[in-house]
Amino acid sequence: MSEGYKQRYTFGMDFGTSDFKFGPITCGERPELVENRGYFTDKTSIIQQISGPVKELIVGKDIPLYLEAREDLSTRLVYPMRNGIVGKDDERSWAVVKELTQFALEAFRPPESEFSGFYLVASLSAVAPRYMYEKLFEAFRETNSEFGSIRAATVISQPFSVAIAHKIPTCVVIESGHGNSQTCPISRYPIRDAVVAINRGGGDGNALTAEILKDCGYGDLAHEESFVRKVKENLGLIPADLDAAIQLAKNDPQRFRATYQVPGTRITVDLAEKSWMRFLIGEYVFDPNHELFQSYFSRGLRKPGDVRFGDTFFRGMLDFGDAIVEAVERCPTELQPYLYRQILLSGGNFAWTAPPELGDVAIDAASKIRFLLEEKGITGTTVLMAQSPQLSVWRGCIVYGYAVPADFSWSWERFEGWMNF
Amino acid sequence: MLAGAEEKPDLGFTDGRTTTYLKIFEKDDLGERNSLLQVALSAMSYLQVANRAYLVLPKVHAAIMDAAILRERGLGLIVYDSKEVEEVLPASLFEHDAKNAKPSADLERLKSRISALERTVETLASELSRVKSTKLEQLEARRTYPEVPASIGPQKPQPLPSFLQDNPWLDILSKRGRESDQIAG
Repeated sequence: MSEGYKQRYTFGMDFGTSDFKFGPITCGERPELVENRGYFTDKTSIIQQISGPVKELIVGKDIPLYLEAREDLSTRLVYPMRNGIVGKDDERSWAVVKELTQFALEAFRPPESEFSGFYLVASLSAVAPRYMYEKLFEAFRETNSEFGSIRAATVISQPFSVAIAHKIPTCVVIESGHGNSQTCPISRYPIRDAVVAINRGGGDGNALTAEILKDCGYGDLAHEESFVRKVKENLGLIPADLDAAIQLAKNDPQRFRATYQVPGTRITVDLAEKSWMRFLIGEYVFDPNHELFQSYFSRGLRKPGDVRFGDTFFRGMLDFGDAIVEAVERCPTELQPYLYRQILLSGGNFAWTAPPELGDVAIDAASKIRFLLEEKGITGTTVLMAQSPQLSVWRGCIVYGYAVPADFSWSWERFEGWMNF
Repeated sequence: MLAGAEEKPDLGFTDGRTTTYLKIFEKDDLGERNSLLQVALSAMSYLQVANRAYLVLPKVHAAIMDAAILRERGLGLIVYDSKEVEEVLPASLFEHDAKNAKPSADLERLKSRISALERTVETLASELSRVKSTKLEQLEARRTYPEVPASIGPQKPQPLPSFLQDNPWLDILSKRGRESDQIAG
């Protein structure tokens, strides 16, 4: 198959934790997006029997049309990539992945007679174990047998995609999502042996925020995750130095006082004299080792623990600075200075802003990472926030599919190349 | 040696403006009775073309000739032996009127051949011109243009998406499978 054909029919898929981004190269700058989830319908329900035969599994934008107000909704609505990892025997999740794949490819099936399948590039979490690659290829093979829509496929890691989309061949990418974070050195290739995984993500920031809300008298609202998340996003601050920020905030509570009005409700959260706690939220995401957090752990906050998912060991309490240093030090010494030069932050957990009026104490995620590295003696680092983080993984997939030669076959040693169908 | 007389001279010279022809009589040529007379008449005929004509005789035969007759006719005389060559009687200079000069047979032949060549070239040029125009018409008629499918059409060049433009990964990734070293975990 010619390079020209491959470049015309390159297709990207990003299996993110929350959203599934997909589309061929002809989408241009932006792919299509649906939630990365599937809804298993209830064949026995009266509504289903009245409205006629319905597919067993629904994906895409039509899901809300099928949702039923039932208590077992949470078991029927499956988010397969919640932590970036799908269990090997989690058949329902794999069924959703396969259905999403077919849905995406059929949505863009070209009318041209020359079309004999896409060159599909899918992206998974950096901590995805080998069996996930195998299961994904299996789903692709079955899809092609049924629809003839995949000529060849490959799977690359999300941090690798982000580096490609941002045009940086040598860097460290930190991807931080809801459940976990990964530090991935990249030098023309993703250096898989150097990936450092952290069992901490945006969800942990939510958990601490819930504890703070309890301390401030909003315990009755602290169990609603979406509410807690909104409070975190609106009130949380990243301190340049936690002790100094707390001291300043305690001395001048009015300056740091924060309130959050929940849109469309009468609920207003006011941290009042405890507004210094805003800094705990941001600090905890980047470094949970301050002694102040111990009291929360002792009062029931789940301490991020070391766990193993698949082949990957996730560290709970490693701060992001140490994670970068550890990842880089697993690489050849010669390469280390080049890796430290550019750090690329990707994922929703880094989307923090610093109010200009508090610029002397509150900083953004990139500055925090730079400070953490400087504490460890690493200077001269450029830390960048990924632009359009929602799109960059898909964009990296398109670049990869466009450029990698069609005759470069998949290798299980390299985890690269095209699996031909 | 120059050509041009009806009978070619044995030797001919020119200084660019005038020509001189020589008719050489050798000792052995005196085999026949009238041979000397024929040689003298030949030398005379040179004067139709040349400006000067000489009769060249062995010194031992020069006594036979009457120099007065030669001078009267304007013919020069040169004698020779094994030791020397000597001009005994200078030839008179004859001016030829180019306009009235009677063209030689060679010249006539040359003119005729040139005319024939000119006619041939003219015919060939006209034939080539006709062939050219006929062939072009035929080729034009035979040429088939591929139909442009409406779906493809003359497409406007689509600009590459921003993330593909000036992306150093394009070069790096396009070498995958063609490089020996790699850093991969």
